Amino acid sequence: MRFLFLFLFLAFGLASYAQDKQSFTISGTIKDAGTGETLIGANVLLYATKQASTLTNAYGFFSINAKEGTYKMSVSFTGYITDTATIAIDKNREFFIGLQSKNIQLDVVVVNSKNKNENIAKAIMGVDKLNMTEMNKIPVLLGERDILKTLQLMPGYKSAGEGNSGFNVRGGGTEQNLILLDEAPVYNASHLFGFFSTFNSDAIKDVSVYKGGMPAQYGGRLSSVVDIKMKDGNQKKLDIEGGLGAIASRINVSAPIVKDKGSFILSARRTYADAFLGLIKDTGQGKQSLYFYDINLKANYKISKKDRLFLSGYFGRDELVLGNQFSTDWGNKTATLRWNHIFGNSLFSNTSLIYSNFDYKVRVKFGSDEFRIFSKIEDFNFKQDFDWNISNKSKLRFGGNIINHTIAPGAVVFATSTGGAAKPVQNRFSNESALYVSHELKATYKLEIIYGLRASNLAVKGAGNFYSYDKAGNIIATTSYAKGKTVVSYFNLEPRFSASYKLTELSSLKASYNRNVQNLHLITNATSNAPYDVWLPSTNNIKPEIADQYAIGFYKNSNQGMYEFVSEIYYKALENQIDYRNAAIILGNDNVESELLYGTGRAYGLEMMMRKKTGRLTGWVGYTLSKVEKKIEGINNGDYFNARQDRTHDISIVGMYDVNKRWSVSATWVYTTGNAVTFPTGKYEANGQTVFLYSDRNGARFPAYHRLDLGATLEARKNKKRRYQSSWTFGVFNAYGRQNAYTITFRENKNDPAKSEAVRTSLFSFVPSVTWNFKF
Amino acid sequence: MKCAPLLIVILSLIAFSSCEKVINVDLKNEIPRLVIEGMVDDAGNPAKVIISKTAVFSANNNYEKIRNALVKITDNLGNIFLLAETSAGTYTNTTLTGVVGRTYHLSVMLDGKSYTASSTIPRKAILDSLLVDNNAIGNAGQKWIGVVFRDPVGFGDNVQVVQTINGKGDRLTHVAYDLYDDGGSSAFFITTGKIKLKVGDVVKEELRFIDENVFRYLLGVQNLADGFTIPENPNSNISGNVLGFFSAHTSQTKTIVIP
Repeated sequence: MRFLFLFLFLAFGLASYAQDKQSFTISGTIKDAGTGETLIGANVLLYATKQASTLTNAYGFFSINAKEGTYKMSVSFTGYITDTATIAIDKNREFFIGLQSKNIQLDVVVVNSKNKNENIAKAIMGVDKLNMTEMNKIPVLLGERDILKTLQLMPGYKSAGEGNSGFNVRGGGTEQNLILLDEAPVYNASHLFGFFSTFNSDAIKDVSVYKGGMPAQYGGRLSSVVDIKMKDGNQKKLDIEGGLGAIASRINVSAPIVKDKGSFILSARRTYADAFLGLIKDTGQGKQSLYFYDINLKANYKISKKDRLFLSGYFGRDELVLGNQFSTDWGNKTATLRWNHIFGNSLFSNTSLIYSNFDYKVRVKFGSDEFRIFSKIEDFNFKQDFDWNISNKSKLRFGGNIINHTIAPGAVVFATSTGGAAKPVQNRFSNESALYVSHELKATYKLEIIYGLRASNLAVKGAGNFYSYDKAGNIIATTSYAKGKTVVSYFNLEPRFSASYKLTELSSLKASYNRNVQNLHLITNATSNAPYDVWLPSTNNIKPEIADQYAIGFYKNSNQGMYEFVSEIYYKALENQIDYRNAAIILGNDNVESELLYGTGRAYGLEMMMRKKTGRLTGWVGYTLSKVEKKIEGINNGDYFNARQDRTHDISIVGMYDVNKRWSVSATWVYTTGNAVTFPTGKYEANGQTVFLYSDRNGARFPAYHRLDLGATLEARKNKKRRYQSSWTFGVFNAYGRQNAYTITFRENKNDPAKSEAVRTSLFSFVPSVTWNFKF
Repeated sequence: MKCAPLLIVILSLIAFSSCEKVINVDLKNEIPRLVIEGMVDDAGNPAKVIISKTAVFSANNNYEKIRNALVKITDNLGNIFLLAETSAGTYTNTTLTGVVGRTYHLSVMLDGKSYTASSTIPRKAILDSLLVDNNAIGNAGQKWIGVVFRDPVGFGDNVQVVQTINGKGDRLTHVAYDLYDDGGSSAFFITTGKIKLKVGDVVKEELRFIDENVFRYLLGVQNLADGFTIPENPNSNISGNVLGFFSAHTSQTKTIVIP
């Protein structure tokens, strides 16, 4: 007993001695030493007898607490040389550290061992970061680097099809992905009917993608968040880079506004006017063109040590003109104004004003009649986020936002009228708001949890007429609301939880649960890639879509950090899913809600990935086994049916190999089971033609899809005296020419209508590409 | 009415040139189902009902015709018209001429089961003329016919056009959705699919004003042919889980020779 007392007294004494030591905050920003670009997710490690570490936030800011004393501080980030220094902490200190990029060194340096296991400890799961340098080596169609196409090479993100930059995450529809460019949502992230995405990788600094375990600061879509951050621009000197490719050219200019205080970046990309004309049907009449362009702009300025201002914008457009009888164009515009402010040393604040717009126009001439369609979705968003570093074990994030949505769903207007009026399609107004709080806690050495709550609300506003329908879709009541009046409101609580438990230093088990709510619905019954989307907010008829996702995962790294293995299983339950009546009329229909059917969905699967991160050969192998089904009242007798995006197996193998200092080669091989489709089960004659008979919805399968892409990059000899550098990128898409089915259609034989046949259409085989890249 | 081509037509413009190949697909074969197609018009054509069965995909189109059914059409004034089997599976009545505004009720009795449908002949507009124009939206140098008529004021006047080229049906479905209430003149241009019209071709266009259920059915058939939506059997307006449709419509015909 005496022994115990003595022990307790000593322990207490030591503890109180330890309490006497004051705690200070070390904070600051980590940047690229050569350009001044802030580094997102850089690891800052402080160690003496114990260690504490943190990651820089989206603006390169970090904050870490330490008791008085002397420490070794180590800052590291993939692709950069780790910086280590000994520091004395006797007051709050700020550090602005520049890391040297490894690219400018001719010798290869070993990756710092301290942060390579950070993926094991962090509670966040279902998140992937795209490495921009790696991405530039991966071959893609026609030589245009594409972050969304590269993302689809990772398990869990399935391509929605060749020539479609949409993707399905854990069974979700392509409209269930929140794609953010500097916090502004991009509603249609594809060019040229889906062959390319709208993101010019020259302007992109960081891409973080969440397919599960979405933290509470994100909301609005059910399946994923693709958080894309633009580069800020070179703060030290003028930087010009660009490239001339097979189908497009691009240029990227960045320079300081005031050295080390402010900079700007401007990126532009455009396809050649007639590069794609060979792809579309030749009408032989008048001018034809098919092209797209993108412009990314950003400027930032450090007003004071604690304040920084950013302004970013994106403008992109696609245009198709076929003679003087048909023309169409569509595109996104986004703009974000942000103010970062640091309160004290531990509270980081970000205030944003965000604008986003997607619109499309169609003009068609039939004889002397001309009609036009115009549609848009436009958002104004005010957002406030706080990031509070309470202690090294506890971080609190909280904030809120409010978005005003205005949607013109696509009225058809006749330009040559002889009186009367077209059936009007009303604009839709709504306010979507949210408040969130999220706590990241290192509960014990082995256990880290992030738990949070997002409270979201959608208020449907007038002016407008709102309809009630019977089961058959006939209008039974119409109520008129004045401008600004609330028609109906939907309030939802979205709990978010994820935890990580370290089994060993190199392995961990993670689990997560999320509820996500989506109040913007993409109404389209077309299976093609046309950009003629109709977005509708929830209404008195359309309820918010809800997803509950449960996931568990096992993570393991190899000893030296060379290999990383991840395996996750998930289950997602979906409510208030939307489908369509037969022969639904979507475009130009003010009563489009009468065409909708509702039900539920479920998706589950297993994802595995093995990654080799270091050495001359790097890359990964990914495999997904999954199922996604829907159950809609009025379709398939109300039984579960495979969703169109259901594909059982998904394999991707990506390899990048540095042959020598100048040559590197890469290859990707993908294999997927075909999509679930509806094929005929018979035929009959009606209305003077053969009509095919169908039974189970999506009860058949497309043939399997697979292809091999090869790429090679040749760097020009590096001349240390000259600033000018150049490189060539070569690629072959679908190197063994597999005729993958883009569509399979059924029709009468041209010569003998009594016979029926199936026709497979394939798109690209053996497509080579050459791009020349330069950099000043 | 201005006939706005539905989204389908716009999408077909954006089809990419690519590799096409006829392939063999393993298809499930459903046991044959009953198909009933019936029509009544106001132009004096005989009221006709055709009853057949579905065939498997790989078969030739000689569909099994169903004999000895009891087929009857009544109108909302109580008149009853019996249809006699004039050839295998085809039942007609030459005395029934439809009247605008009347509702016709079809009844088919077969093997102890009863199949019924209703269709009302909607109001119509006069078919003015046909004109020939270049289809710049289709393949190069193609011609197509515009069916010109005056739109009744108000919405809901949906139409179907049946096109016959050189005496043969074009084996396509053409419907248009009434989006405009002006009462002015409008032209509905009729696509020709794989057929290329040339000088001297005789083209007959029959304009039918159809009711809402028939419009949705035929739009479903047109969607299947266009291939831009998930395929589904169109909603039949005939009860009893059968395929096919019953249409009571107006009918006007004009013919043009391609100059």
